[in-house]
Amino acid sequence: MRVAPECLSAERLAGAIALGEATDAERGRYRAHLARCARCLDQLGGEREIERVMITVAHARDDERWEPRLAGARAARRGVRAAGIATAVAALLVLVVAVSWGERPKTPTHLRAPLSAAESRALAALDTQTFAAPAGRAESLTVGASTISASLRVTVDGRGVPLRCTIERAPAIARWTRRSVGRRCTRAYRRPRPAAKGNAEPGGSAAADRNGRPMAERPFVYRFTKDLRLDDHAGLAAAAARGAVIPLLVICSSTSARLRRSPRRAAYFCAAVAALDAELRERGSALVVRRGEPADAIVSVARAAQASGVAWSAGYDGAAIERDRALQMQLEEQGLAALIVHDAPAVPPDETAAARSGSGVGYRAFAPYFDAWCAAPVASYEYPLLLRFAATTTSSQALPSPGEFDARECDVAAGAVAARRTLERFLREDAPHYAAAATDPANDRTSHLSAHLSFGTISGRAVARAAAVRLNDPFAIGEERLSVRLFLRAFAHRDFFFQLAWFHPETGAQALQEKMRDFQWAQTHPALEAWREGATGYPLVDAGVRQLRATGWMHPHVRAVAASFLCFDLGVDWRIGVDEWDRWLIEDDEALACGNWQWIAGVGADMAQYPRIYNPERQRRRYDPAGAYVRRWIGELAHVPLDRWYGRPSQSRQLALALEPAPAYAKPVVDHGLAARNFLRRYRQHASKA
Amino acid sequence: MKSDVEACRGLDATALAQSRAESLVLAYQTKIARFLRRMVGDAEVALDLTQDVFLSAYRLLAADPRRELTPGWLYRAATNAGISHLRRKKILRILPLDREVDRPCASLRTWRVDEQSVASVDLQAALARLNADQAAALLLTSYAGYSSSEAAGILGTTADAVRQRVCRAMRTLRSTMREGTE
Repeated sequence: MRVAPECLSAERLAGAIALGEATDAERGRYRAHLARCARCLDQLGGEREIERVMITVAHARDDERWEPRLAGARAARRGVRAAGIATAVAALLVLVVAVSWGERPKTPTHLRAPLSAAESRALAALDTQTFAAPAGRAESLTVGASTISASLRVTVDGRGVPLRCTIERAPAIARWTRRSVGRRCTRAYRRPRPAAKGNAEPGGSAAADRNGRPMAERPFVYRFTKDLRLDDHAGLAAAAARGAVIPLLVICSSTSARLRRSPRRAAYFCAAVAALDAELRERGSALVVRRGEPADAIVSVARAAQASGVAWSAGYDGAAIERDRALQMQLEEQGLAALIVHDAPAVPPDETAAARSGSGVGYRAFAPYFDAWCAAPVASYEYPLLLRFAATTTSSQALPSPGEFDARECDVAAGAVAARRTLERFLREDAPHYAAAATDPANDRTSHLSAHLSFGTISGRAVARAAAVRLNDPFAIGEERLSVRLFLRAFAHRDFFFQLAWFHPETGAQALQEKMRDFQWAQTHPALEAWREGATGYPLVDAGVRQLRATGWMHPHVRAVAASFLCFDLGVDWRIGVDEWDRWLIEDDEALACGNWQWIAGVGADMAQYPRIYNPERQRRRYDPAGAYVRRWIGELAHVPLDRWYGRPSQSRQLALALEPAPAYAKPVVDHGLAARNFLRRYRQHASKA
Repeated sequence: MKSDVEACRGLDATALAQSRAESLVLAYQTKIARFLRRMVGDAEVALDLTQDVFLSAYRLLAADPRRELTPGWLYRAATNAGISHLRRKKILRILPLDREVDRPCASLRTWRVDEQSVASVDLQAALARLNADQAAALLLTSYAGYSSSEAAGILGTTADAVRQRVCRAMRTLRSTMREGTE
C-alpha cells in the first residue's frame, strides 16, 4: 500500500515525539496532521498515546533484572557453532579469569569502574591521603604499602581553591593512567573525601603515634550529625574499625540556626538525641555533648581522650559539603585523621557514578540512575556487637532540650525504636496498597519515614533492604509487589537527589538546568501571603499547607500540588517555597528539598519537556473526591456541601439564589487556567530563547 | 601474591590490551547482553552473541592496544550480531510456540499503570513481532539511551530513518498492547 508523503513525514514526527526530540513546531505540525488524517490518528495515536507506549518500554527497561552470567553460558553452550564458539569461549575465559584474578576488592562486577589495577590502587591510596599543604606544592602520593611513590602537584586559584591535580613523577604508572588518575585527583580534591569501604588508616593499622602507642589502641571520635542511631551505621562502623569509639555531638551555630527555624524540628532532634544517649548508656557509654565551633570542640575532645582521629557522615547540600571540606582540612592540620563517610543514602553517590562511566560525575536523569541504583548492592553495617565504646572519662555538657531552641516538647515519636516500628508498620499494612493509595491523601498510606530518615534514626539501607525482602515475599501477589516496587522507585529519588547535590553542589542556590537559571521568577505576589497561610481558596492546596503548619508534615502528592500552585499559578520563585516550608517541616534535608522543588518547578532533573502544572481543583476532585482530606484540615468547609466549595467551576449558567450564607472560606486568589496559560507562555518563550 | 610494583610495572602492550578489554567487559557486559536478549528474544543466544562482541573487541585491542573503542562501537557490533542472527534463523516474524527457551524473558512482564488500573503487557512478545531494523532502532534509543542521530551513526543510516523505524516499532507495540489488554 502506498503511503502518502505527508503520512511518512508524520511518522518521522511521531518518532521524534516518542524520543522526546520534537520541537514545539514539530509537535504542532503533528497535531495538525492528525486533525486531517484519520488513518494516522488511528495507527499512531496522539502525543499522549505515544508517550504512554514509550513509558511502557521505559518501565520494562527499569524493571530489567536479568543478570547475564557469561561464565555459566560457556558450560551451557552446545550445537552447530561449537567449533567456532569454542575459540571465543576460550578467549573470553582468559578475560574473565584475568578479571577475577589479582588483588582487586571483591565487589560485584557491575559496580566496578573500568579502572586498571594501577588506577585502583592509586585511588585507594588517594582516599586516605593527607593533603596538608595544597598551595602549589608537590606532595607525595603513596600507593599501596609505600612501595610506589608519585609527585602530586596541585594548582590552586587566588582563593586557595584547588583547580587541578597532576601526577608529575610516577615511574611505575603508565602515562595515560597518570592523566586519568590526575583528573580523578582533581575531582576528589575539590570535594570532601569520604572514606572508601574497608580503607585502612593512613599508615596502616599497625602504625604508631609519636609516643610509640599503637594507633589501634587509641580511641576514635565519632561525631554524630544527622545520623542519630547505633545500628546499621556506616560512620560508626568505620570509626569502630579504628579504635574504641567516643560518641560526640557538637551543637554548632549552623545546627542551632537550623533547629531554631522549625520548633517541631528542634523538638524532634532533642527527643532523638535523648533516645540515642539512652541507647549509648545501655552499652556503657554516653553521648559527649559540646557547644561551639566543630573544629574546636572536636580537637578538645580528641586531645583529652588522646584520640587518633574523628569520623562523621557527609552532608549533601552545598553549604554542608563546603563545611565538611573546611573541617576536614582544619582537623588534618591539627594532626587528626578526619574521615567522612557516606551514610545517609542507601547507595553512596560514588558507587552509582562509577557504575555509570567511571568519570564520577553522577546522573542528571532519574531513569538510568534508577537502573544503576537497583543494580548496586546495598551495604550492611549491622554488627552492633563489634562496636566498642571508650570509657566515658570526657566531660560533657547537658543534652539539648527543646527550650534551648524556643520549642516545645516533641509530639512525634522520635528515635531509632520509633523509626523501626514505623517502617515495620508501613511494610506490613500500607506498602501492599501503595500503588493504589499513595496519591490519596485522605487514606494516607505513605511511609511517614521522612523525619526519621532525615535525622538518621533509621538508615536508608535498612529501608531499602526491608522493602526488597517484602518485594521478594513468595506469598505476595502481583499488585503487592508492584506497590513495593513503586515505593522503592519513590525511595530511590532520595538517593538520586543526594547524588545530584553531591556532584552539583551549586544547585542549592540555582537551577540545575542551565537554560532556566536566568528565568525571571517573581519574588513576591499579592497572594503569596495567602499561599503561606493556606488561604488561597483552592481547598487541596490550603489543606496541605494547614496540615504542614499543624503537624510538620504534608502528604507527598499534596506537596506537589501546593508547590506547583506557588511556582505556576503565582509565578513565585521556588526558592521562596523551599524557605517557607523549611520553617515548618520536621525533616531537615536541604538537598532533597531543593531537588524536589526544582523537579516540580521544571528547572531541575525532570526530563519532561514542559513543567507539570497541576490543576489544584481537578486534583482535589480526582484524589479527594469526597473531600474527606480537605474537611479534616479546613474547618470552614467541614460542614459545607461539596458543590458550594470555591475553586469548583460552576456547571450551571443560572444565577444561584443565596439560600444559605456564603462559606467563610476564602475565594480563589487567582484564576488557575489564566495563570497557568500565562506561565506556560513565558516558559516557552524563555526555553525557545535559551 | 604479586606486589604493587610488579603489578603496575608490567603494563606492556599485551597487558594494556587485556586491561582495556577487562574494563570494557566489566562496564558493558550487562548492558550489551540485555540489549541483545531483548533483540533476539533468547537468553542463551544473547550470551553467545555477547561473547562474540567482546571477542571482536578484544581482537581489535590486541592488534592496537591504544585504539579507542567507544560504547557506540560495542552497540554497533551488538546490533550487527543481532541482525545477522535474526536473518540467519529467519525467525523475524514468527512467535515461538514453545516459550520454554524464553522463560526468563516471558517472566519479565512489565506493568503499565494507567489511572488506577494495572494492565500487564508482555513486551518481549511485542518485540518479537518487530523486524530487526525496527527492533534495533527502538532498543538503541529507548533502551540504550542514544539519541536518533547517535543511533543513526550506529546503524549507518539517517536520523529521520531512525525516527521512522521507532515510530513503526511503536505502532506495532501499541497494537500488541491493545491485544494484550483486550
